[in-house]
Amino acid sequence: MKTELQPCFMPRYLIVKLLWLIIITAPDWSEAQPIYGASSLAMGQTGVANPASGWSVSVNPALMSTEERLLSFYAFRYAGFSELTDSALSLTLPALRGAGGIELFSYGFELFRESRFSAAYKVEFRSVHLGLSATYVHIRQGGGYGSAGAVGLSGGVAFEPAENLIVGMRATNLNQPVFNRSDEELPRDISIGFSYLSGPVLTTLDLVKDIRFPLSVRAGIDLELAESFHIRAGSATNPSVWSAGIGYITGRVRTAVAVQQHYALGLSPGFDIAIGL
Amino acid sequence: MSKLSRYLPLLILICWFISAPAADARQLVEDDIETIMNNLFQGEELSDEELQLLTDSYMDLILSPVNINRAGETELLTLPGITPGVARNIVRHRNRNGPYRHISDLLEINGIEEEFLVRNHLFITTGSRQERFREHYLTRSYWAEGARTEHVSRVQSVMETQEGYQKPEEEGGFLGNPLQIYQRTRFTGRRLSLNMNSSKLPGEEPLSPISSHHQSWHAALRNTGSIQTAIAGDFHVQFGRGLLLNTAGQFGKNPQTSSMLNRQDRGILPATASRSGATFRGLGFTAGNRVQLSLFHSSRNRTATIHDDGSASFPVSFRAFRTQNELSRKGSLNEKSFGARVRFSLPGGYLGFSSLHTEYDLPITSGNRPDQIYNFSGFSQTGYSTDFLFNVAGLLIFGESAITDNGGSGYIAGISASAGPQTDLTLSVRSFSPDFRAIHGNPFSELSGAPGNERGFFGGIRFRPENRITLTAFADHFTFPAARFRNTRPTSGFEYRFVADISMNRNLHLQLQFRQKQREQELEFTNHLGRAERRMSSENRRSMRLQAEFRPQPTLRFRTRIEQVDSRSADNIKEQGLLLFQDLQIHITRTLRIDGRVTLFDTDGYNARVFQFENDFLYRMTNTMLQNRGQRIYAMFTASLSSSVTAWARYSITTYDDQILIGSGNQTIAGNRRSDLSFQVRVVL
Repeated sequence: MKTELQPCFMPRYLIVKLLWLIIITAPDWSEAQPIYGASSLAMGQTGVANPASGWSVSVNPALMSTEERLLSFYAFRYAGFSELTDSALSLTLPALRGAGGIELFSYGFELFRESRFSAAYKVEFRSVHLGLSATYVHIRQGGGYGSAGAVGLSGGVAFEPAENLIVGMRATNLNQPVFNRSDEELPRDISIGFSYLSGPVLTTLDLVKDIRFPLSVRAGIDLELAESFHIRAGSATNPSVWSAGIGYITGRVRTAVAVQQHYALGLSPGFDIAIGL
Repeated sequence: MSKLSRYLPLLILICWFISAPAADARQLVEDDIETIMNNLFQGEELSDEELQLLTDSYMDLILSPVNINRAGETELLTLPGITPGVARNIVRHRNRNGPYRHISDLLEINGIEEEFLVRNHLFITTGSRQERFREHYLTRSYWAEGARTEHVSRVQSVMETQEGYQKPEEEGGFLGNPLQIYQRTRFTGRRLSLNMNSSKLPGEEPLSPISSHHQSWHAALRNTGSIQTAIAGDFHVQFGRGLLLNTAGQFGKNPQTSSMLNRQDRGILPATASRSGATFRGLGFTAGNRVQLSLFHSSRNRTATIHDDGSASFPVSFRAFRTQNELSRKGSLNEKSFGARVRFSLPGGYLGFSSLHTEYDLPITSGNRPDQIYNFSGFSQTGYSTDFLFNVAGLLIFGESAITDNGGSGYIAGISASAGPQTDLTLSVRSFSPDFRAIHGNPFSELSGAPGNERGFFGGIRFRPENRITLTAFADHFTFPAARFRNTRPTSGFEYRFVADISMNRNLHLQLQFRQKQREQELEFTNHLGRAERRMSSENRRSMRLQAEFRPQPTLRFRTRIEQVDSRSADNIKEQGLLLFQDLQIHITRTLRIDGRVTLFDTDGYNARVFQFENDFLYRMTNTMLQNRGQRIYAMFTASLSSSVTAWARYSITTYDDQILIGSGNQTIAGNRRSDLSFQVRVVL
């Protein structure tokens, strides 16, 4: 018996299949190279030594703010596909001898959903910052293929060897977790970078090595063009991308938008907002 | 040796009796030792065994430091990193201003910075009043000076099951369990040294609860009147530049240009490395001051493969006895050695004459390959050498030449000088004929071990454009006049290294290193006629390293390294390697310290392998080689449980991302993870 398809169903079905294929075959940008925050996105995905981020719970827990209470929201759409959207919510608070934070993250759509819940704590000794985070990662595949979860422990350090210079390091999933009921390991990487503030210019450079992928060199720049108004740009290798964005800070609210150009996938937009509580 | 084990409690009692009243017993600061070892060893591609030998050698220098109020220029030159100009200045300052009251007085001398004291403060002393009363030999305090007795126990195991433990013994499986156990009891002081240790390797079967296949012991007298050293038991020998005799281990080429070529002429030294087959066992002494005489005799069973015709292969230095086959070779070859040396102290230096006779109870065969025909063969060998070292107006001149009874000869000579207050230069030439066979020699050369079949020229420089920057570099060109390294014809090569040490401020130190080595290597291939053909090619290895060390507080240290390796094999296969690590050392309390490191490595293969020197237990050094792709993590806890008890715990795990089997043969692990757990406890009486 011949099945008649709705006129609009075929292309939509193909797109979903294509997205499914991308997710399965290209986990490098879905897992190994997470992006948090439009500022980081605009600055070439740097941030391991950037103290001004509301996304330190994941980027580098050692750099959570010990002075501000920050509630942040972030969204990023890979190559314009609504199905490939990151969204995250973060809260960081000053705490005993340091700071604490939690973060919720979601990625994917009904056929594949990855969710993360992170909790982090940092301590500070003069110019030295040490942070630890625990992240529960849950993946669910649609169509009755089941779900799995794992807990990863990550650590970060940061220090200020000179005025306006911050050096930061982060190592993810130190406990080498695997998803239960499978041998699939969570991605592990080491990031090392610095940020240097010279007048209105913030410069960042990160080296990121994921076990499974080549070394990625990332650089970014943030210029406070006018009071409260920032323009940002950056570039990264492996994969080769460049990016740009703007940011505006008014009172307790910071907003940023960014766009990233991937050499093959094209443009991807991102947006975030952080509110000082 | 098992008989000796029975006397262990008695030995401990004697040690305690001697050391108990020593009010001035010196507590070594382990952190300082580790820092010095780190600075000296990191960057070296040495095996753990070689590191252990070097550690013992430096521990000996720590226990018997150079007295800067008595030492002449040549003795001062045994210190790491010292230049002839600085040695001369130390003596001049002393002659002009009287004895040094504290080692920090050395900072008044031109050419000595804080870094020198940090590196050497455990190796030097200003002496004590007690030294003026040497004649009181029979007082207990005289013998107990600087004394301490310690016992170290260590246990280590690979957590995963290796193939050798699953196979039956008769099919080549391991005889024992996977535990590695090490025990060491020693009494060390300025004048007495008693040591006994035992080591059971993984897979070996212990001989008894307290003895194993690898044991070492010695009783030594030192710095007593005209006796420099008198030893019964296991010992090392370092004569001259090591051309004829040096079993104590040494660095390869490294940026410590001046001290590296000035091989320490340290005579006969107590040995403590139980696994080393390179040590002598017997009696030896060094006596005299201006005219120094050294004599030793050694008889030791070594491990070699015995052939059907009754001949033996050359004995190996390190051997485990884990299987029936390995155990059957244990002690299969007896080696007897007799050595002598006379050293005459002359104004500004010394002149030495050495000889060594070695014989085996079975004939040694050298092998049939073209690169083996000049190897030692036969029952015995006798060699003679003469060496010198003089410091003339700040110019250090040193050398040694030797002959062996088969007609082989070799020499090594060099100069080291300070070309101004900021610059040190070292030049050296070496030439060892293809048939030169100094089987216990270990001079400066392309590879550590017995010299032969090599000519080379080395030039090194250390330049300090300002106090915060030190630039060191060396170039070494070498040729092999006959076949070597599985080639069939002469080959050559070179090695360069450049190191920049930059102290950004008191807390932040950067190091940049570039290294390149190229060596000719024949390539064997099948030509278009189907015939095997050999063509000369070369293999090349380059590495670039950036390391940052930051100490924001005395209790906290960060170390970060990124290293890139590029290699090209003789058949033009290119490989790349990358290493990235973050290291953290933190003193949680005054008695608890944690060391940790996370390393990512990604190499295309063996030729692009990367090395990292790791913090380990006191007296144990680890230089880990990493290849393929993966992650290595280790954490170590050091706890001072009381003033006399220190405990260590260490866990390491290496996870490979591209391997499903780790290791080979009996050591194969089915899986992609290998983890090691080890504990050590030390009790100091």
